[in-house]
Amino acid sequence: MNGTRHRDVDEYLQRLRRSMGDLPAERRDEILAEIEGHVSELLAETSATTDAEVRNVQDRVGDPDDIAAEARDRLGINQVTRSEPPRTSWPDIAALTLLVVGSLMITLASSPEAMLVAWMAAVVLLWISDVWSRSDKVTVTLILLVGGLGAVAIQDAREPEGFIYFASILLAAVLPPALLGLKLRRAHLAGGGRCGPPAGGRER
Amino acid sequence: MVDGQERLLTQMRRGTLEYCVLALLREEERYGFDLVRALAAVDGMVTSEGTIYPLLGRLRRDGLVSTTWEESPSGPPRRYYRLTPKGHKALGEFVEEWQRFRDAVDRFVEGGNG
Repeated sequence: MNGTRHRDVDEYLQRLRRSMGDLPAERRDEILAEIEGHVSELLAETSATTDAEVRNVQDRVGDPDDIAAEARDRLGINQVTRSEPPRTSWPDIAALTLLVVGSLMITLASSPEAMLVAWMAAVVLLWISDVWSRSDKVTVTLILLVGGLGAVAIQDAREPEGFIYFASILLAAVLPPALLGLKLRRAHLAGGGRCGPPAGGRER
Repeated sequence: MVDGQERLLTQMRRGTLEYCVLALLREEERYGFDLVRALAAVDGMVTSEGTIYPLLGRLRRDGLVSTTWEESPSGPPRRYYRLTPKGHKALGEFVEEWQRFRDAVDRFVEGGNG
């Protein structure tokens, strides 16, 4: 162990540092320094040099995430970022976008076909998503169904009472994106702003 | 079943590991690697060796142990842990409670209670 350390060891310590990224710097550095020393002692004791031997040493020391979890637990730091509330991902954004696109298609381009395609795709993505509750999904799907049927009916009939249909479509075009957008924002705020009991801890 | 056993062991260890550490420091000061080795020599006390360090950090913050740096015959200096008076007191209280608790549980699990 003359100076040059196996690159996997550095990589392991880096991973550990990242895993403990949310701990107070002083605590994190202390634990890191101790584990670095521990790894050196283990490497020296077992005279591990090959990749497999070094990996075996890492297995003994433990998974960085486990050590970080233990540190949060022992230091009374609430885990916020990792036990995440469902995080917004691209299907959620895509669902919202498609809803708006569908709404524009019917209100501006008067194209029920394009609207139906966009909304159907949006509904599929909506049901895949886990940021919205089941009741949100049911509500939005029903509104879209009514709006979609209204659009088809308006195209077939083009009669004076078509105004009612048009109003319902307009409602279907505005309500779902507004509702889902609002819920998304709230989920976002709840995720980022949930406060842990003990003071100190969180720094980000 | 194995999962349940593992969870049970984890829970029991969670509550008692820190006192095992304090007990290991009762007679002599030790550095982290040495502590882990002593704990690992007993089956079931340590799973991931690295998880002992967050615990040591907490014991230090709570004033149950104090640390000093000492030269090592090989390699970088080592952080040695030793029991403070507060640590001695906490250990003594635990030992008393633990004996009472262990006897109580034994009376039930070893059968013939009544």
